[in-house]
Amino acid sequence: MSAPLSCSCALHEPLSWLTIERYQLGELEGARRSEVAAHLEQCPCCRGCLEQIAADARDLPPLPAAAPRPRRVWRSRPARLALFSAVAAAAAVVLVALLLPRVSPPPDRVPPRHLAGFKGGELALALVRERQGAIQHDPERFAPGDRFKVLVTAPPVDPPLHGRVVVFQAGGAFFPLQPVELSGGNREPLPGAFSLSGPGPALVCLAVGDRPEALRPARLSRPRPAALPADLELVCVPLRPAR
Amino acid sequence: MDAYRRYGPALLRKCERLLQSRQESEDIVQGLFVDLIARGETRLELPYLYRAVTNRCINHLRYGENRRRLLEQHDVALRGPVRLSIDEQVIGLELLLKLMERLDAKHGEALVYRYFDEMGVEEIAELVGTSRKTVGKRLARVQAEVKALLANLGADNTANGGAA
Repeated sequence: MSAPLSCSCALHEPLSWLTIERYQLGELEGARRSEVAAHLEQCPCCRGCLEQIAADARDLPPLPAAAPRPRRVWRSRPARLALFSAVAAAAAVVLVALLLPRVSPPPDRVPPRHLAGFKGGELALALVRERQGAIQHDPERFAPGDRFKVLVTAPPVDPPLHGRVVVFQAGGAFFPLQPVELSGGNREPLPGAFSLSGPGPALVCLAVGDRPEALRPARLSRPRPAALPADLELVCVPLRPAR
Repeated sequence: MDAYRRYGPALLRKCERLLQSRQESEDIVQGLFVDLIARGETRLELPYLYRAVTNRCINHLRYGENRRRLLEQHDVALRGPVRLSIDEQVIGLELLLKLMERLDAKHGEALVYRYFDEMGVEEIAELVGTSRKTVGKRLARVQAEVKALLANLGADNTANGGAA
């Protein structure tokens, strides 16, 4: 492991990175700007920090103004049932009608005691889609090239539980993100992002267990969520391919 | 979003000094702006964003899985030039993670502002909305924890870097 570069401020108390960033952005005015300029002139160390900032050209992925947040589609079991009822009543899309009964957990599934805090809809999964720079909260559809982030809301739990994103599609399961520990939070983004392809609908699920071994790919590689081991808690979001 | 274009690079640099991971820093900064956009917050200033992203980074560092991954994959070059140390001990990622296990959120925040953002006591006090005396006490506790850790573990095992 190599050591970070170090230098000593010639004036003993260095300019903070925040101050140097604001100076570089032209946000300091009047006497403060003059003070900082004088410091930079006398201190090669702090001047080097400014030069590093100036040389750091960034190409950020665009984040345009957000679209209005639509109704959440699939957060908790009551929401799932409501959606199921609506879809069944309409009998509009055969594919969705086929998919939904598989999503509902088997009636005999009893979560282990450690997972009890996540019951009653408190564990929520939400997706954010980026498509050509446009951000969509709670998307319903996917297209090749879309990038999805997963946000998790969970109540505080100690010790932490373990979670893994599982995507069910075309009778298979895949795992686009690394497993995570869940100790509670509000719409916390999981590290990383993923894309989807293929002509069929997908179901993006977060499987939660009380130990990392419960989330091994071998245990989660099932054709549909209902076939997962009974010691896992699930929350899922459906996605359909773009028209 | 103007604030993202204007301040995103500064926030990424700040995250990278702390996490020493480009990918995870991007995730945190993007996550912050996604939430800000969703809440309709558009009038944003860099000090406010600095604090918001600091708290997200601290939360990120507290997850065991994140800690393991960062230790395995971090790039020490992203720490950048270091101008402040404690008894000539630069606080690198490994020492930071150990300190975060011992410090609560307020002390962790003070640690980050002083030894990663290299702010003075007055600047920290203004940012977090407390007195200089309180910040001084928090930093004294941070320094005591660093010294205790180094005494227990040995500088060779905990140091990520050399003297300032």
